Amino acid sequence: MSLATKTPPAPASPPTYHSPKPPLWAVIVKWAALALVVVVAFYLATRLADEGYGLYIVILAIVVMAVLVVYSTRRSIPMKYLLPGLILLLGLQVWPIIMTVSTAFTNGQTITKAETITAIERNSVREVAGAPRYKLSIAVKEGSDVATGNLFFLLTSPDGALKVGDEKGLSDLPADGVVKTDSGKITKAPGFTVLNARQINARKDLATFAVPSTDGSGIKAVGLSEAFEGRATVTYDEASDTLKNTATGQVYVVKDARFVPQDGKGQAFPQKWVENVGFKNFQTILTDSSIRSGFLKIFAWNIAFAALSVITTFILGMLLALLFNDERLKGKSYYRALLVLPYAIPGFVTSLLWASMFNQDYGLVNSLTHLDVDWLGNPWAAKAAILIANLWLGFPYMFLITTGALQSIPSDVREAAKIDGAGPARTLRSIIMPLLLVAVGPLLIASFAFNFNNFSLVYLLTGGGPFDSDNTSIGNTDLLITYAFRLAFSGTSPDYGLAAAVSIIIFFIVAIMSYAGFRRTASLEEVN
Amino acid sequence: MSTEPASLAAPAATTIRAKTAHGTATTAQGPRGLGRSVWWRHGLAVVALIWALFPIVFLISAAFNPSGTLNSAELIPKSFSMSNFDTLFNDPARPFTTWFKNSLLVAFIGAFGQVFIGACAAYAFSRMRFKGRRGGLLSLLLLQMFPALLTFVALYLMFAKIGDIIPALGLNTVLGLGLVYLGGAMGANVWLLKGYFDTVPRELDEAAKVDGASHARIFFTMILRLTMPILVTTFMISFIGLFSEFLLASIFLQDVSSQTVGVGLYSMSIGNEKNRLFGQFAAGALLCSIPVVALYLSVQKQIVGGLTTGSVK
Amino acid sequence: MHKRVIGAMAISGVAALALSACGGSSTPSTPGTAAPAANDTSTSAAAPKPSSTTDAPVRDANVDLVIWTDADRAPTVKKIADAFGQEQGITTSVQIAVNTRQQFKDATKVGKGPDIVVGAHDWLGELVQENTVAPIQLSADTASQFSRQSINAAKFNGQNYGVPYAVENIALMRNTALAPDAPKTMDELVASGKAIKAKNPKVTNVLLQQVGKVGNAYYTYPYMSAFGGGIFGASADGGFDPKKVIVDSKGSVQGAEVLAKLGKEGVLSTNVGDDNAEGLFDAGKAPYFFTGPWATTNAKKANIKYAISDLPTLDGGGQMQPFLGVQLFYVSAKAKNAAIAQEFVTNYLTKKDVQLELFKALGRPPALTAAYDEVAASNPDVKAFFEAGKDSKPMPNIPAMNSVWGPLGQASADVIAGKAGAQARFASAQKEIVANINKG
Repeated sequence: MSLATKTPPAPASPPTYHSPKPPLWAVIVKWAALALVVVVAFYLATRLADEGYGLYIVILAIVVMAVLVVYSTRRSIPMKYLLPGLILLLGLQVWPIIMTVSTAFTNGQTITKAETITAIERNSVREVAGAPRYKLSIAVKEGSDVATGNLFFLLTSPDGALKVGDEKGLSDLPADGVVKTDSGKITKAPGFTVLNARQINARKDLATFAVPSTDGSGIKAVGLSEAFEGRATVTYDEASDTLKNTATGQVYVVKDARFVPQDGKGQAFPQKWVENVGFKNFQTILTDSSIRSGFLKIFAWNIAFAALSVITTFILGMLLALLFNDERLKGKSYYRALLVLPYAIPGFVTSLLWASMFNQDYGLVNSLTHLDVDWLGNPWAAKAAILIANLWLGFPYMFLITTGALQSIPSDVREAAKIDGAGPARTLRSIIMPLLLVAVGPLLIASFAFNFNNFSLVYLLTGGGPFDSDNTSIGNTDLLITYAFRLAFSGTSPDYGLAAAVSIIIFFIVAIMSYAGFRRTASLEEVN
Repeated sequence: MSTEPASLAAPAATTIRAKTAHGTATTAQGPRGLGRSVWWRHGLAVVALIWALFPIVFLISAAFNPSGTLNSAELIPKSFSMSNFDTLFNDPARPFTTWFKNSLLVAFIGAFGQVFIGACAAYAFSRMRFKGRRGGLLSLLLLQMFPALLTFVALYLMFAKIGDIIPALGLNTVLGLGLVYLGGAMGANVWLLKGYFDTVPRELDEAAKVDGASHARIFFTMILRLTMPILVTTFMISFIGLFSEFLLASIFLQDVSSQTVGVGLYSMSIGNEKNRLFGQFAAGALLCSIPVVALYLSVQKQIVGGLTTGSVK
Repeated sequence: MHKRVIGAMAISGVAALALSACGGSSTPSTPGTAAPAANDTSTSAAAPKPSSTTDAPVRDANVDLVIWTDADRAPTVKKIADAFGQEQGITTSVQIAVNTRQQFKDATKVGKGPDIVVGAHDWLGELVQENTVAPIQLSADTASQFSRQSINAAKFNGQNYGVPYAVENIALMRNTALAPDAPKTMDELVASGKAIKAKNPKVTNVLLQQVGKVGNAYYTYPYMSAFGGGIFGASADGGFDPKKVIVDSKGSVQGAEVLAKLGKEGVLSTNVGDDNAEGLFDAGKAPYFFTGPWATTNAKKANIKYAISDLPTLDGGGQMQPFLGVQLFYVSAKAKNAAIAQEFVTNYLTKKDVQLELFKALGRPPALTAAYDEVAASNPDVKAFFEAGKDSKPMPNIPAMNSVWGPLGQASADVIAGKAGAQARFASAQKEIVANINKG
């Protein structure tokens, strides 16, 4: 680890005080914990090996090594405090982000081509016209193992004829000694062991088992007690990489990771498989006219929304925190608890309530103010509505934070200010605010980032709407994230790859803006 | 102490006072001024409460209205009954009590873990100087800006695999969900905590060090104690966030008996369920606020009235 | 909403998976569009013991049949599955999913899904697209015992993928205290509604129909169908052809013109949506309500005397035909117990007694004709709802439908609000829909 400790006022601390002896119990606890880590790691490694995740054993080993190095040596004290959080951060935040970023270079599908072909073929099996439906019992030869013995179909055709079928074909079953139910299902036949439901279920080979019949059709089981004669009507030709519908003669060729009709007539198969597409998704974002035209409009509102949300919630939260920061105010703890209520009720609940309150005809907002504003239908009013609702949802957070931060401002600083003759306003502006901002400045930036991606509020309150007439993919209150969501998760063919690409772009925008904002705040000096 | 907090009056009030001659300001805050100032605050507080509470009145109204629907035009219910609460607690297909327990569990574990991990990291960032410190802090902030929505798919796939290895942490487990929540611990809390840790005078550490205390001892016995207000605040905020979190949880927790209140309630509010179950939904949402308010009331002293750095000096 | 900045900000921003499911038809801009098919009502409080919820989470290797369904149906499905299990000597487990559609897709892809899932027929195209459901080879004989439309609804590209058990559609619900007689035509409805409103100060609306600011295509369709319009033309195999979008056809536009007229007269409004339509009806503020069986529960709770009748006919066209929703049992393409699952759906669910039992959970007309006949004889609501939809077509189950909800809903909202003319607005909706479909 490259994190070498360097105590800031170096000369102030003589080396002798650097290595105090920890108490014995602490040493024991520490080594026991380390031993536990190793034991658990070994257990996990065997589990991983059992399940066939070889690669992950390496990752596990690296993590364990890191833990041992950090906690068993005195080398890196900061790491001792950072490592647990760091491991969780890398595993549960960074890794998923990397995975997401990597899907931006694919078409966002998850199924492989082989799976797709199998599914299409399986789905194309049709009952042969005019073929009988049999009553079915599944059996093995008497004496062979029910779990592994060759499968036999004991069939009763609708006219009562008894048949037996195996992987070679169908033949007559002698009626002697055969016992049937009222419906015709065979329950006993000499020379066979009829399987019960559980035994049949355990036979995974049943999925591919068929009794061959005339020209390529086969008799297959439907459940446990019925069999039909069917035939796949779509077949795959590996040499030409095409599918052919044997009933219509239509040939399907590969295009954009799916099978489409060669002559362009008729419908393509809906299944798509995963494919790498390089930078195509980013190219689409830059060149697709509908995406590009919406982007700037949404972007501007997105910034305004995030900035205004932070400013309004912070001002209100801070004012209230100051208001209640008075020793003499009786019952202020109850006031505070009630103020936290908007925050205590799940956000999706209150979003619903606000949507209802903003209804033009039936909502409380208009009826209290005697206005007739179409809050959710007018583009500007909808923006205002969202900001108002977000102010309500967000101020308790700022209130809590500032209340906490105010406690860190030493009272003697204020005393000193007063002695110097500073008025309350001056004290607030030049003493309290700067100190407060040091503590909460980075949080305002984090809050900005959060609101920049505040999907759920917009989604639940306006759904991104109102929409302009000719384009329902771009709403007037859409944020980039709700817009990306709509692009990616709705429509005929949801495109998760494109969504991932949009998310990367959003990330860079927010990161650059936040970084710029960060440099301007005093907090950066603290970091240096 | 009695006159001191007046200087922290709300700006609305301070502007007015600032206009008076500054020389007489102190005397104006005698007994008479004191009373007036407090009433001012009560007035403002009531206004703030109206603003904070009026949407909740609907919720209360709907919760106690036997035929409660989401119709905000009616503030005062025509009839009053507990039938929604009855239904809420006796609907076997929607086991609210189980949800509530799950939520408490995941919120306590998650919030405690988040605060502890955050505090450890904040201690390192605040008290130690090492290579990569500044970069690390900035990266943590920037990392929070990735639109998390889209990483949920990857998390889902990941926990499907984790469930194969350790079934107790897989999909559909409250513990697994708690673990995911811990992933955000460091990035989310470190800035708030570090900011506060920085205000604890470094001389205190130095003094302890001179007395022979190890870094661990300083952290556990001194720093954590001195920063209790912010730790409690962070715990509160984490707890609230996790208690009713539903976006991630609704992907993770499929089975109804392993769900949290957030997921359960949210599922009652979509589609036409919104109308049919609104009474129950409102009742459940109200109950959700109880642990949060109770927690706040119980820790408020820690947050507000607790230690200040000034008193330590 | 700041709570997550600190709490779990990075991980809880937004759930693509969860939310794409919540609209029912995975169209975020039209919440509740497909919801009529995706959820259900009627029994809520009197459900039996929570036996089904005590089963192991995710799937249990020792269980021979795992079924996912939603909260309302679970107790009944559990009962049926138990009986089936006893008959076959196997154990079954019924689990309650919340966003059944999405959770089924997600879980199946990672091999953690159930063997059977209960859901609406309009999921079908999407489920096939994602390789998550298996064909069910119903015999012609069995299929003929179901209503024709319900069997059609279970087909995609000519293949059958589900066993139907209930149908549902909207109809005209009226408050009999205000409007004792059912109007036959829309003109009659509007005239009588206005008269009722004029003499009764409490009544605020003539007719309630969910529109909302983003519109609702589910309720727009009956206007289009009355004039022979619709959304998709028929494909060769009798399904819907995504290449034949007929939103700007003459019939569809005529329907849109009726919407415009009703909007102008104040009969329809974008301020009535899924959040308040039911509440207004249950408060006795409107005599007429276009809604489905799901609304009867609250109406009964609110002591509203109601009656159900066919949707009215439109002047110059025919009767408004609602979308038909069909509830199906699907078998997962990755079912671990495929044989038992197939047996359950093909030979057990198709029994009259089982369908009657399922009726008790839902209160929707059974899809099996024999079961329906028995129910209809004693339940006028069920009969009336069924009659209102007996000639209507199933909601399109092709994936392309996901491109329709948003644009068509918004177009109808704009037309009702008078923001655009019917002809032009539906033409631009058509253009947008076609462009979206071609993108996929």
